[in-house]
Amino acid sequence: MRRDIPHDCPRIEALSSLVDDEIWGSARDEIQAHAAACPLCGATLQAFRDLRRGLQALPDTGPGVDIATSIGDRLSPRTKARPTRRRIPWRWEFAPTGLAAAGVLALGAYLGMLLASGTTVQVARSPAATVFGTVPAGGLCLTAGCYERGR
Amino acid sequence: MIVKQPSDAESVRLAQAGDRAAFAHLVRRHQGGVHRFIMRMLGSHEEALELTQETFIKAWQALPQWQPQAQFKTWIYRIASNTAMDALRRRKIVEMVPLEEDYDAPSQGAGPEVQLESRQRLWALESALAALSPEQREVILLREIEGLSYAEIGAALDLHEGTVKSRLARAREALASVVRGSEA
Repeated sequence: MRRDIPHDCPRIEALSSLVDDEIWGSARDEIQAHAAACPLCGATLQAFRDLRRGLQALPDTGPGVDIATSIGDRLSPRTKARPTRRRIPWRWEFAPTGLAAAGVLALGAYLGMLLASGTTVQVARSPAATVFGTVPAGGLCLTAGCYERGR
Repeated sequence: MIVKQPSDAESVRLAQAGDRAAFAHLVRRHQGGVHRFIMRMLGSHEEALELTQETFIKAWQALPQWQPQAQFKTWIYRIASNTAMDALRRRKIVEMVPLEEDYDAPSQGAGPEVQLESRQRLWALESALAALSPEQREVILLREIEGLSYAEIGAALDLHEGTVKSRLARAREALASVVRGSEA
């Protein structure tokens, strides 16, 4: 039913939309008025309406069984949805490793500079660290001043 | 006592949490339309029954992902359409066979001649429907038989409304042409 549409006829979509009540207002009025006067568009519109009546009259038997019952034992048990882990943008995924690497490099560079300049580092001796010393804790040398003299 | 039927949205919410009774309610409400649609897409009662079951099993599995802004009706037709199209591809038959000729047509108390004419007309229409492409057939079925609006068809088939409008017009044009050819 390919129509050779004259220039002033509406497009086939407009006639189809009219059958479906999917066109409103003045556009609808114009198409209706045109179809009433144009034999080609009038016949097309009638054919579309006949098709609708015919399709709606097609027999419908239905499935004939209760689908809900027939699939009942094929439905898998619902498992609780796992909370999804929020995806971290890839740039931030490597941040801890990068920071650690930068820290190690900075420390290495600092120690290297110290060695190169010959600077000695005075490390404060903590009383708690005396357990690692050569003098036993509670030793008499501590009270006699031996420790300070380096004995 | 009038028992208020739960809406689709209420049933879906319960079914998402694992309530099988709520899901059974959804199935019973939509099984007729889904089966009718698949049967007309494929032309086989047996296959339609099997694929209707498959459609609802897929729906149960996908239900946790269902978005509240979607209509269950259009969503289930989307699954049905994909299932029917997959079956057509598996069969490698793009054009389906029309339904059997001994398929019961409604008599409505008419005389034998009128009944015969009516049956022949319906048979011609079934054959014409089978001659359409599956894409044209599904828009015609969803509109003319299932009564979906253009927006609902668009949601079900993942098409723009403009595409639905033009595809439907072309499908009608093709269908009318085949029917006219069979009557000539």
